[in-house]
This record gives sequence, C-alpha cells and structure tokens, in this order.
Amino acid sequence: MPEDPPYVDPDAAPAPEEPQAPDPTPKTDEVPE
Amino acid sequence: MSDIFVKQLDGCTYKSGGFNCTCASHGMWMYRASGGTLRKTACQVRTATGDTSGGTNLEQMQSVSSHFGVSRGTLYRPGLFANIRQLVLSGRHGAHFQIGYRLLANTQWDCFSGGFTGAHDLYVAGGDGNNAHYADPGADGRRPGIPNGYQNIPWAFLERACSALPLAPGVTLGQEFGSGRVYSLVTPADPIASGIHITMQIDGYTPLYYSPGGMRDGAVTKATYITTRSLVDHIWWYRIISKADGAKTANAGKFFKPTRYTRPI
Repeated sequence: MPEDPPYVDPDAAPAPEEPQAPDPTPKTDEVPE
Repeated sequence: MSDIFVKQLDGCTYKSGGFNCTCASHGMWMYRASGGTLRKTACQVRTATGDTSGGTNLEQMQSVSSHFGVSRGTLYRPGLFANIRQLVLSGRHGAHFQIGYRLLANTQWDCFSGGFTGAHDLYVAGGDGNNAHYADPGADGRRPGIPNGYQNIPWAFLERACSALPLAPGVTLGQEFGSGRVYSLVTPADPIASGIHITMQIDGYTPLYYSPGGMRDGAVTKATYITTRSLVDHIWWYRIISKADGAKTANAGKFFKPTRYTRPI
C-alpha cells in the first residue's frame, strides 16, 4: 500500500526560516498605566 | 479585511491589564484570523490562557486560538523581518510583532509617557512600502499625548525595535540571532472573495462556522441569504452578507459550506 501524502495545512504561511530558537518566545513585560 | 482595535488596559481582574499587551494584540489577531467574526477583549484572552503569572508569550496565544476554534497561524521564532513584512504587505495577513520598547520610548509612538522600555507586543495589520500600519495595545488615548488607535511607523524603525527585543538581561534578539529578525505570529491568509454576490437558499440543517474550517457557530434550517464565496482548501465557503431582501441578519459574517440543503437561486 502506498503511504498517504503528507498533510499540508492550507492555512499555513510559508515555513519559518532557520534557525529557530530552542526556547519559547519571551513573555512581555508589565507596562505602566 | 477590516481590523479592530483592542486595548490592554481594560480593568481586567483576572490579571492586571498592564501585563496583557500580547493578549490584546491577540484579540485583534483572532478577529482577523476569524474573518471578522470572533471578538475577544484582552481580559477574555488572558483568562483563556489560565496563566496569572507575569506577561504572556506567542506560544500561549496559539493555544488560545485553538481554544476559540481559529487557526493557530504560523509562528516565526524568529523569522526574517523582510519576509514577514512581505506577508503583511500582501494584504492577506496580520501579525504579532514582539519588540523592545526602548526604541519607542519618548517618541511620537510612545503610549507609556517614557515610563516603559521592556518587551512589548504589537499587532501589525497592514502597511505600504514605507510604513507599517499597526496597533499598540497601549494606544487607548487615556491621557492627552497618548496615541489613540492604529498608527503608522516606518518599517525600518520597526525592524530595529524588533531587534531590540530583550530576551534576557543584557541580551536582545538582534544580539542572539543577528539583525533583521523578529519573533512573530502570522495569521492564516485571508480568503480571496470572488466579489460576486450569490443568493443561497437553505432548506435543511446547515451548520454555520466562524471561519472557513473554523469553529462551529450555530446552524440554520431555513433561510435565504446573500453571500460571497471563497475557495478554501478546495471547498467553496459561503460568507453571509444579509438576508435575501438586504435586511440585516445576526448571522452576517458567518460561513457555511454546501450541503444537500443549500442551493443558489
């Protein structure tokens, strides 16, 4: 049986460029009012 | 695609609005990603994170999108600023941009009267060759001299602010990854509407959706609507504009796809 083709999310924008950070994006800081 | 402004300082009791810039931006982001049907305040987004500690990040916003049934978008960690600018300039994408506010403090774009230089989040809705058209969640006009709503800022200046994003004490995004990069979360592409109005008759149970392929939002069993249609992932989705006689409908902006109960008339 041939394998199914990989699923591609039609909503997806082009793939991110390398390098990708190993850590999550930073949390933002508190702003004054 | 139209955009809305969502402010961060909204009196949230779940977590003080001072921490909710990313959540406010995500209210704007999800409105865009849902085709203008999902409206959430910064406080509602913050509550959906389940997180009451400090600020929030873009990964948490992807989880909030899933919670509300909209696309998680594409996360660039980081991406090339020039490429993301091109996506925005296509007119079919909005995006979170994380910035270091140090560059905006005490400029015409400053929403915090010189009192803030930390990590902040903006929603960029569009732009032209020179400027980004963006919303700072602090731009609520709460005092004279504080911007109110969307502003324009030169792309080159915004790029430098993105590079100045603090990642750790003494370390910026630009120092870690090189210049010309940005942490960004980009919306799915807006559907391309045909521009042609199609009158659709519904004679049986037909689910409605916030967006093509998105979260279910009720259903109708008998109605006639004026619609536009868009081809998304090989399926024609119909977006409700009005009732057949042009009168307003509470279902305006919602989507449905063809069923055996729908037909053009």
